[in-house]
Amino acid sequence: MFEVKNLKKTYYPKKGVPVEALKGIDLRFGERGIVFILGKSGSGKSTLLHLMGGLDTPTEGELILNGVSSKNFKAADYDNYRGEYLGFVFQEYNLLPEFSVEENVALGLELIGRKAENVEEMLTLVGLEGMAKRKPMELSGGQRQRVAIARALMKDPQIIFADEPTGALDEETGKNILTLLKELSEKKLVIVVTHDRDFAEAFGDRIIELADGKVVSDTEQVDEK
Amino acid sequence: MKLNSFTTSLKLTLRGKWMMKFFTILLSAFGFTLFALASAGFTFDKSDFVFRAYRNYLQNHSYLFFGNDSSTDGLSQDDVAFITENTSLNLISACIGGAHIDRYVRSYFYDGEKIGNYTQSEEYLKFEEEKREHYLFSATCVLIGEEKALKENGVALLAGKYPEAENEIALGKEYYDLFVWGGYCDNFDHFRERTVERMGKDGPVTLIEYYYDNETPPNEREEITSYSDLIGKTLSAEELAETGGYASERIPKQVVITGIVDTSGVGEWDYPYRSDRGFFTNVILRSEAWRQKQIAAGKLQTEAMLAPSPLTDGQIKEVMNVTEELSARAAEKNGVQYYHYYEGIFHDYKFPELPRIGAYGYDILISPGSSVDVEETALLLCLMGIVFLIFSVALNVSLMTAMLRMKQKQIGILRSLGAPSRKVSSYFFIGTLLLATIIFITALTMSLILYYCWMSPAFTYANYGVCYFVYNGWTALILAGICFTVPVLSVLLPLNLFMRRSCVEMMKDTKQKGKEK
Repeated sequence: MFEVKNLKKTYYPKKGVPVEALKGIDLRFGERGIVFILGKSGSGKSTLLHLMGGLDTPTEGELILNGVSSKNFKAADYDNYRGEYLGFVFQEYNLLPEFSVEENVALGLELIGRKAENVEEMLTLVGLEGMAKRKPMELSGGQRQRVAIARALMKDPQIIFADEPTGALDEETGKNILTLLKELSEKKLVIVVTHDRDFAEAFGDRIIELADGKVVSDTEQVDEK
Repeated sequence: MKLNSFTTSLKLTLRGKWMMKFFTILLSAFGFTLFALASAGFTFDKSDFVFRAYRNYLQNHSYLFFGNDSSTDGLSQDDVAFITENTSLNLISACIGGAHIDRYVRSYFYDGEKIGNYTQSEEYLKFEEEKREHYLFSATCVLIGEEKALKENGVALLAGKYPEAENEIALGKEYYDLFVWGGYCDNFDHFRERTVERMGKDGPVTLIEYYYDNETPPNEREEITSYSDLIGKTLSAEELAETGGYASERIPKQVVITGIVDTSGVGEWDYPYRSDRGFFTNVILRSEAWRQKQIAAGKLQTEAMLAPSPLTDGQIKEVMNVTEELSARAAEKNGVQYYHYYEGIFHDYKFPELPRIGAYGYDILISPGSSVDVEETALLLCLMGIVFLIFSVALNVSLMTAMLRMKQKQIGILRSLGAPSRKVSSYFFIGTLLLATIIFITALTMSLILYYCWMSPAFTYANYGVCYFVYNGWTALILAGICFTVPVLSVLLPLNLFMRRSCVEMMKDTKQKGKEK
C-alpha cells in the first residue's frame, strides 16, 4: 500500500516570487494496476511523480509505503527507498551511454549491492533478445525505453514510476511500451505521468488529473475486457 | 552478470571528452611540475648543499688538504692537534718551504767557475734538451707521517726504509735521479771545512755565510747507479729556522739517507700560487722523532696536512666540522679580517669574511659572501613555488570540476536508481585516482626531464659542480602529494555538494539530453 499525504512543493527561485508547484496532494494507491497522472504542462504532475519517487524532497507532507512514513527520512533512507522499492522509466530513458544494454540493465541491481543474474531473461521479457551487447546509441527510441523498463524491472520493485514514457516515441512504439507497462501492472503498481489523455484512457486503470498543483479529478477506469 | 567495480568506475568517470582529459592531464602535470621543481627552494638545505658541493669537489682531488691561507705560518700545533683528534683520517704533515735540502744538493754541481745551480750548467741543459726531462728544480717539502698513512697518501717506498731516528731521511726519487746524474759527495764535511776556512770557526753559521762556498769539484764525486748506492750516505740538511726569515739562522745538520720514495701517487692539487707537480714531487721524508724535537723547540710550522681521498661521507662531515670550528676559533682570536661587499638583494650588506683555515676548498665554500647568491636564489624559488602552487591548484581544480559537471546527469541517474552517495563517491574516487596516477606519471617524467636538462645545469654552483637544488625523494613525494590530493579533492568535494541536490536537479543536463536524442 502506497499513500501520499498533504504533499506540497514550493520552489524558491533566486529571483522572483516562490512558486507553489503542489498545493497539498492526498492519494492512496493499491498494490497493482496502472495509474495515469494527467495534466497540462505546469500542472505539477511531474513534480508529484518526482516527490513520490523520492527524486525530490517535498516542502511539506509525507509518503507512506508499507506503513512507513517518509517524514523522518534521511538521504540514505531515500536511497534505500528508491533502490529497493521503486523502478523508474523516464521520458529521455536516462540510460548510461558508456554501458552496453546488459550493463545498463544490471547496473540497477549492482548499485544497491545485489547481483544481477537474469539479465538475458529480462531482456527477452521486454523484447530485446540478442541486443545485450549493444550500446544505447545503437538502439531506436522504443528499444531504449524497453531497456529502461528492463532496468526498472530487474530490482523487482513494488512500484514503477514512468515519467512521460512515450513522450519521445512515435505513436505505435508508444502503444507498445504502454502495453508492456499494462502487462506489468498485473503484478505491480505502475504510475505513469503523461499529458496524453487518449493513452491514459486506453491503458489506465485509474486516471488522476492535476491542475495548478491540485488534484481536480480521480477516476477509476472500468476494464472493458 | 557481475559488473566489475573498477571498469564501472572508469566508464562512469573517464569515458568521453578525450581531448579535454588529455589537456587536463597535460596542463595539470605541467602546473604540478613547476611547483615540484620550485619546491626544491623550500627543501633547500644549505648544510646539505655545502656537503654535496664539497664531496663533489673532493672527488676531483686525490687527497684532502688542510692549510691556513690566512697566515704565512701555516697550521699551528694547536690546529694540527685539533684536526688529528677530531678526524678519523690517516693524516700526514707537510712542512713546505721549511727545510731546503735541495739547496745543498744543487750545490754539488757547481762547475767551479761561476755561481749558479745545476739547471744552468751546460751539462744539464744538454741533458734537458736530449731527454726532454727535468730534474729537481726547487721547492722542497718535508713530509712526516706513519708508514700506513704515507702509503695511503701515495708515498711508496722504493728502497730502504722510512726514517725513524731524528737524523734519518728518505729522499724523493727526483733526488735519486739527480745523484745518478751528477754523482755524490759528502757535502757536510765540505761545508764545514769551507766554513772554518772562511769564517775561522766551526759551528752554526747563517745561511748567507756559507751559501756561496759550497762547491765540490766534479772529480771528487762518487758515482751512484742504484738505490743501494745512495742509502746510508750522509747529507747536509737545513733544519727549520728558529726565528723565521730567509737569512736568519739556519743550521745545517748531517743526516743519513735511509730510503728512496716515489711520491707520484700523491696526485695533483689546484692549490693556489703553487705549481701542481712541484708541490709534492721534491720531497724528503723525516721521522716523527725529528718532528717531536722540532715541536719541543717551538720551531715546527706545519704548513699543511694531507689525507688520502676519496673520503667517506662521515669523514667529509668530520672535515667540515673541523674546518668550521677552526675558522670560528681563528675569527675569535684574530677578529674579522675584512669584509665582502655584496650588491645583490642584500644590497649594502658587508659580510664578515671568515679566516681561510681548514680543509682547502671547504674554507672557501663556507665564506659567508660566497653563498649569498645561493640563498637568494632559494628564496626566489620559494616565491615562485607559491605562485606555481596557486596556479597549478587553480588550474587543476577548474579542469577537474568542469569534467565533473559534465558527469552531473550520470550522477543523477545513478542516484535515481538508488545508488548510495558512498557508492557514487567510490566510483569517482577510483576514476580520479587513475587520472591522478596518469597526471603523476606525466608530471614525474616532465619534472625529471626539466630538472636534468634545464634546472640542474642552470643552477650548478661553479667550481663545485653541484646544483644548489636537489631532485630527491622529497621532490617526488611533494609531486605525488599534490598530483593525488588536488585532483581527488577537486572531484570529491564538489561531488559531495552535487549530491546534496535532488536527483531531479542533477538530471537536468541539457547537453546530455541533446546528445541522447
